[in-house]
Amino acid sequence: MSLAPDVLPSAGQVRAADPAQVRAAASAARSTQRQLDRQLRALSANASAWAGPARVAASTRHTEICVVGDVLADALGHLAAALERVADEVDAARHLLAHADLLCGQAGGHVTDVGGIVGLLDPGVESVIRATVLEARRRYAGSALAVRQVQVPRWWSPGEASGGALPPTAEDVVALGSGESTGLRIPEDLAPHALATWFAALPVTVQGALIARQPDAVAAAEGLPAWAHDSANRLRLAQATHAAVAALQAATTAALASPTPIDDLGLGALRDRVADLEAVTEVVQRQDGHERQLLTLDLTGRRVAVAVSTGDVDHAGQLAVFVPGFTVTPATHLRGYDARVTAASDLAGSIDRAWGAGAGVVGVTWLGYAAPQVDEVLSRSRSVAGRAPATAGAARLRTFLDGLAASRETAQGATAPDVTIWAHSYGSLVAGTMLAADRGEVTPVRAVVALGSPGMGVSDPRQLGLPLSEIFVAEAELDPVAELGVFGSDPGHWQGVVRLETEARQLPDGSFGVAGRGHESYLTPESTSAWNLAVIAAGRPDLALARWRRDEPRVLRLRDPACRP
Amino acid sequence: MRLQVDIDELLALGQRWVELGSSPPVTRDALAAALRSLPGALPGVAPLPEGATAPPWCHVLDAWSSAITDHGAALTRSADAYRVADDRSRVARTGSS
Repeated sequence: MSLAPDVLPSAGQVRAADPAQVRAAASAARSTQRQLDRQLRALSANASAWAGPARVAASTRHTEICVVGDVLADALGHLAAALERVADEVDAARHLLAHADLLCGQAGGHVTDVGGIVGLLDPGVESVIRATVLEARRRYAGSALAVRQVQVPRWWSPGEASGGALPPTAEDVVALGSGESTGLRIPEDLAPHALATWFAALPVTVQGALIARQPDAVAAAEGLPAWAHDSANRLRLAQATHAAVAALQAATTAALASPTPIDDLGLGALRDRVADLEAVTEVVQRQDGHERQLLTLDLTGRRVAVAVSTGDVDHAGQLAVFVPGFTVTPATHLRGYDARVTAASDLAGSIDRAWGAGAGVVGVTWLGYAAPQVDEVLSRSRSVAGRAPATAGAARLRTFLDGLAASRETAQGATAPDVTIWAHSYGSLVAGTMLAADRGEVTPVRAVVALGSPGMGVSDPRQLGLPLSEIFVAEAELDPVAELGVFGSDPGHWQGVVRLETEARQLPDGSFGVAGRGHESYLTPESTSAWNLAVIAAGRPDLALARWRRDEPRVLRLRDPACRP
Repeated sequence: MRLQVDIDELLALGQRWVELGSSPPVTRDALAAALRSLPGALPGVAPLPEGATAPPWCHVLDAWSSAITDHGAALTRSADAYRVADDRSRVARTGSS
């Protein structure tokens, strides 16, 4: 911010500022946020033994109110954080002014309240003091910039026009069981950007009503903010889990009474569905200080497709999207991958705060496509040896990322997040297929890291549409998949891209990174590989440890005795 | 027709929501006072953006509390309506027997 000195606050105003009072306001916002959270917990504890259409209508209204409460609590959190930043800036400005006062006093003068300097015995220091005072006044003037981003959720009140889309009222609940609808629908023919704009213009109460009454439509609408997808998907998760458990119990009962072999009755598929949903529930309910968002919950496939973030995607400066590969399902892999993505993105966040832009890093465990499974190896359309699952997955990954970008660019007046893809194994083929298809022109991806890749589907890395300096390849010792090179050429042999270190090394922050061994080692906490993934996601690839040993006899790695059974 | 409603539970639920929505807004008032003090704490920086002022926050927090209270009141009214319907049904059954 560059304001002319005559319109800046005076030095006296900087001295009179009270950052403690600003912090008190931040604290009050946090207290109110906590009170709302307590109320929400109390409301959600309302179990009910009554049933029927009346209960459905009442619980829908209940859900709407809770969704709105969640939005309010989040907004209060943003207000508190913004006020804390204001207080920090005021402190910094006052420290600068105090420094100028000290210098001036040592030279026999003093800084007046209007910013003038009088009584100096040593004119040689005047220019330094004047510049310091000016910088203090400028910094103070810009201190309130942080609160410009704070938005108070807009409330709709009865009697106010809202485009014909009225939220339910208490009368809706009085008319229990009538099956009345507000008539509001998610438009089906809008592109993500237009949909984001449409949704952002709705009052929060109407947004809450849409989520509670049409969670499937909200979940499927790309371009809506992550918080809306999360709220809708959590509702759908609870409903789907209830239905799946009931279906499994019914099928089990029927199977026990049937002469047909149990395996023929589809119990396996039902068990898989329940196991997938239970894993998703466990992960999104983890209490480890991360406010996860359930960004995707697709129940249409053989296995549940899901994407879970480690934090608030709507406000993250940078996103690290982990795309896994062969055999991955929520039941078998989500818990472990979520834990490792959380650890790696936490590390990226701390690197971002220490050496980056400080915009925040959020990880996303994206199991959003139907990864090929072991029992599909012989299927032409589903085999891990073919590209069909990756092609389908690439389209879904592109839709997911485009939706995130649309929501961020349009609805919040902010720029699209800075996206890094951590692509593992067959997932690197998914990412490569997506990038090669649009050559980086549509989907906003800054960097991609191929981990233990069997090939990204291209013979030349330039086909991915990213600068070669933003394409990274990691191949750990004893990872046979990384040596395959069956989809296009072997990324480990590409010229011009950065090959990352995976061995034990001293890290730039003074800690020691442990070595990775094998195909599942890349996200191991405290490893050199995890460090590299984190610095790339944090936008500081210059802190990555590269490995360039192109003359290395790589085939020997596969002959390592430790690799043999 | 047999009602699938536990009227006592519905009444308790409504009462609970009314109580939650009507709980003393201590933090709301403290927040409003703190936000109102900001211009004094930041002389020369005002006017602050609307998001850092008290009126819109008070409006939206009050509206949320009202929504909770209204829902509780609606549940209570529904329970009363069910009770009346149940009583009439019983009377009707008694009268026809």
